Amino acid sequence: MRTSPFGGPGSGHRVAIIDGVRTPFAKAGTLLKHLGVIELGKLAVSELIHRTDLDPASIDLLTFGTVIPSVLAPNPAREIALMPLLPKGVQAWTVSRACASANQAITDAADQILLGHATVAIAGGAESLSNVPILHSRGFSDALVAASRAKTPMQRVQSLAAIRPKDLIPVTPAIAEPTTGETMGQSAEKMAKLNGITREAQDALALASHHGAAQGTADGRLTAEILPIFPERGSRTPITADNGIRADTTAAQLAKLSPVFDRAYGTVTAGNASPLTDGGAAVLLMREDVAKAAGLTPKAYIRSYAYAALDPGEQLLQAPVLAAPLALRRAGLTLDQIDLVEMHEAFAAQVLSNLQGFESQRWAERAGASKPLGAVDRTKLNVMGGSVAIGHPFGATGARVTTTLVNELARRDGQFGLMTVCAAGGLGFAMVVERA
Amino acid sequence: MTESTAFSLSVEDGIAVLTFDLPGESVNKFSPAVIEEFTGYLALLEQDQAVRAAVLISGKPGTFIAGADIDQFLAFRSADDAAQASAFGHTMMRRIETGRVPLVVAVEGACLGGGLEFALAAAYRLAADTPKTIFALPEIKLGLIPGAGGTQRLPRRIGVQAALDMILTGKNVRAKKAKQSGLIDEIVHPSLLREIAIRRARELAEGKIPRVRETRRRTTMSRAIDDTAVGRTIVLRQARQLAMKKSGGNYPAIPAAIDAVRAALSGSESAGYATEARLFGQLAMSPVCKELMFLFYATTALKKDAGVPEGTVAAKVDRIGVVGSGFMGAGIAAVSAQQGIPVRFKDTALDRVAAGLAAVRDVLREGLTRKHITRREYEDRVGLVSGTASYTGFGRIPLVIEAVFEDLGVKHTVVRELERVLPTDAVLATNTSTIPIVRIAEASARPERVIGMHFFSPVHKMPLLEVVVTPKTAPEVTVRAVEFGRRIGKTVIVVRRPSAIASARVRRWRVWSRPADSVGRAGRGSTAMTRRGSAPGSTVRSMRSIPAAHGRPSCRLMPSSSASSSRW
Repeated sequence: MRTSPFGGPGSGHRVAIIDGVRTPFAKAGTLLKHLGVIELGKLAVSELIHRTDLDPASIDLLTFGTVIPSVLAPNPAREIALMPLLPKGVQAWTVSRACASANQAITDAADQILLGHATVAIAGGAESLSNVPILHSRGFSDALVAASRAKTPMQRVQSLAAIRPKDLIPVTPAIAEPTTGETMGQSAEKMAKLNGITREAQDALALASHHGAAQGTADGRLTAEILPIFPERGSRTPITADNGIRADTTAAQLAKLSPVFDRAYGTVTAGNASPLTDGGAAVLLMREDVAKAAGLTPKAYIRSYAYAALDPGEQLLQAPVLAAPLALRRAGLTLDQIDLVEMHEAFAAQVLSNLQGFESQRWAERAGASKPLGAVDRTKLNVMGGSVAIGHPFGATGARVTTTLVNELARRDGQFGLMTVCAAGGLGFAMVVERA
Repeated sequence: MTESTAFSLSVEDGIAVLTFDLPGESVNKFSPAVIEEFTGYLALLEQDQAVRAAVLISGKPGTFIAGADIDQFLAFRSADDAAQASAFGHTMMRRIETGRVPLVVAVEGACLGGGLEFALAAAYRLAADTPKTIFALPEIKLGLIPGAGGTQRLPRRIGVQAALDMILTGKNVRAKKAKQSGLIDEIVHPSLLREIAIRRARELAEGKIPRVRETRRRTTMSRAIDDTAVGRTIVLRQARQLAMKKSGGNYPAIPAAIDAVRAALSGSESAGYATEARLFGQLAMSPVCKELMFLFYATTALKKDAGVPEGTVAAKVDRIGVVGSGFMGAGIAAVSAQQGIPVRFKDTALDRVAAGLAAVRDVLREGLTRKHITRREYEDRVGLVSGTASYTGFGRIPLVIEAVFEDLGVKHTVVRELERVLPTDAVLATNTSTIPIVRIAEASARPERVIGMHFFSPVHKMPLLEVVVTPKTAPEVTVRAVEFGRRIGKTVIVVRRPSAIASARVRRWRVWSRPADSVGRAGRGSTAMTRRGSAPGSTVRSMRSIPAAHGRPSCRLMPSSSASSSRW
């Protein structure tokens, strides 16, 4: 029986990452506020198909990640796949793994290819934090349901009379852990304290993120993965770059910002955290031999991946420290063989905690390894900035990180690349890609 | 009765079902032979006391009755002759309307011209809910007016305003709109068409449905217009003024149609029909009608002639590239997106692409504003057009149309740039109107893949597409361009030699052969007729002279594939 490079049964072929494309990432409520998850996804997928000169008839499946789903279109992947550019027979499903949702989509698609179920797949993700559904309160919902079941007008009036003023306050979904009630920011704050991550270190990382992203935008390396958006409403100026990147930010400016989650002793600020963002991204995956037969040159191949999880009440965003050693072990590689690292930056405090964890014997043992991965060479880390500067549309980030990694790895003519993504629920993801 | 078997009859439980399926033709149409056969059946049904009601249904998928065979119009020797034919039609329709056996028409597909006049005489109009089910009186496009009672029954059925809109423009009305206006009684799923038609026929026979009844929803406004002499006069006068202004007085069918509708609403019924017959007769002998019919035949006769070896098969164009996002480029992109064809839109800078895409959206939004398409369909179409300032996405495109600035140097640059990125078997079309294609092809490494596709502005309104071939153009390239042109609904002419005269003449023809653009709708197309509204005869004579002038046919007419305009 042929085996998969991931270690299980499979088609015996590698999964090629042909290319990736994304929308500009825009702070929520700004440039992309009129576009929902489905529109953002369609834009990314359409451009991906055009740029890769792909025959849409060859696409077997499309899977997309999103974190805050629309109640009206619970399977946005299918809505995206139903755009007229694609044949109607493309399989489509939506996945959710918090901030690693697009990674889940990519590995789902890769698995399908390795299993021999598919040869051409589009995977990605999208998020519109400008279009978060606002819910009615429990009391209001109960009254409405009761009213809809009422048999007489009097009953209906009585049901609606049960609504109290406090029931009229809408419920906005918070980015909080259902188990602990802790918000993301509070978790990052806690991690900073537990791991002794200073405000200065966080601000320095944020500064590097902004400057790296600004450099990548200025020289076109970062914008190469961005498709232009031609807005239908408002200004007709094409949107071609992310709008959260601050080329001119300074350490002094970052230092002025007040902590948000712990006003007295906190270190996490709006400046060293990723902003709420709208955006979509998609990646084209193909079975290696099919890509070659089609005359396509893959940017990279998936060498291995791993997911890990820990108690959300502990260090919510520390699971990449468990996933990365596993992915490297599955790849048969060590950290020093890695030419480029892309680490999703939910918070500077989380990045620095993760990096510290890579060097920790205690975390190595928790990951089932005898010794730590070691220190990440900071000149190879997030060389064009990360989510703090570029932005973080939850569902899309995984595909953005994948695209950024494979593009820059190719530019640097590197061999191996590693990416990690932390996610709510104490989840972590790591993937190793290789070239040629 | 003749040998022909256009109809087949079955009677079930007192309800006759007459199926119309004209042998050897793709659509049902009325010819003298068909009418003779039908009246024979009518007599049969009238006599058979067991038959209490009847249904007429088409045996052709996708069309009901496409109208009258226009061959018979050419046979008219005089205005009296034509008027008599009209009066004969009136007699038959009257028999359907008032005969013992009530008739239900079950319409699925095109119900045009005489087909609609027939349906109007029936006791009940049932339509299948399909996009192909359309109703229209396109006679005006041939310089005629409806001659089988259409100008009389339609205003009474749907009101004078809505009737004038259909009669003066010949426009298509979809089933849903037809139901709203009262033109038809009911819409059903196509799978239920026959069954419900039979049920309604039975209900008519049992008196559960009265044979004479109002089918439209009356508003105060409609009553004020239709039921008062003042209201009717105002509407008719306004229609006349507008139509005369837009047609420049060069289109006798327009005042005739208005006069016929006026006669329908004032005076006796028989006087109304007599007016229609008289005006129909006059128009049938008019030069405008003769020339338009000649052109119709010229178009039809040359339908299959693309000037390439027979059996040439072209690759299907599943996406196109458009270079140059100006008004022409945007128009080409928009009509392609309307037909579901993805477009890669390229210009030198993204803000130019943005301007072009805005123009594309403007064109597509017209369909949304007029409620021809849903918002979802609008968004789908907009989503088919993607923009770039580089040549990414051109690597698999089978047809590129360049619509850049009319400058040979610029065109040459674009040709060279394109050939670096396009697949080697792509067709490179140029939308020039001033530069010879041969000159543009000089920059090409593959001149056999270069062709001219000359669109007219505004692209979404002008029906003509001139495909200009060079001596080097490969047959497959021509066929690919022609087939694409037809797919986007254009009337395609293949021009072997660059002949500005031919296109100018034909363009003029198309302008006044489509009063729909001139009368019914305000817009860019409407002004063209006034501007070019010369006497039609001279234009057509010039067209006829083209083949002689070149010693060989240099101009071939290729009608668009839309079936709706093929018969009346």
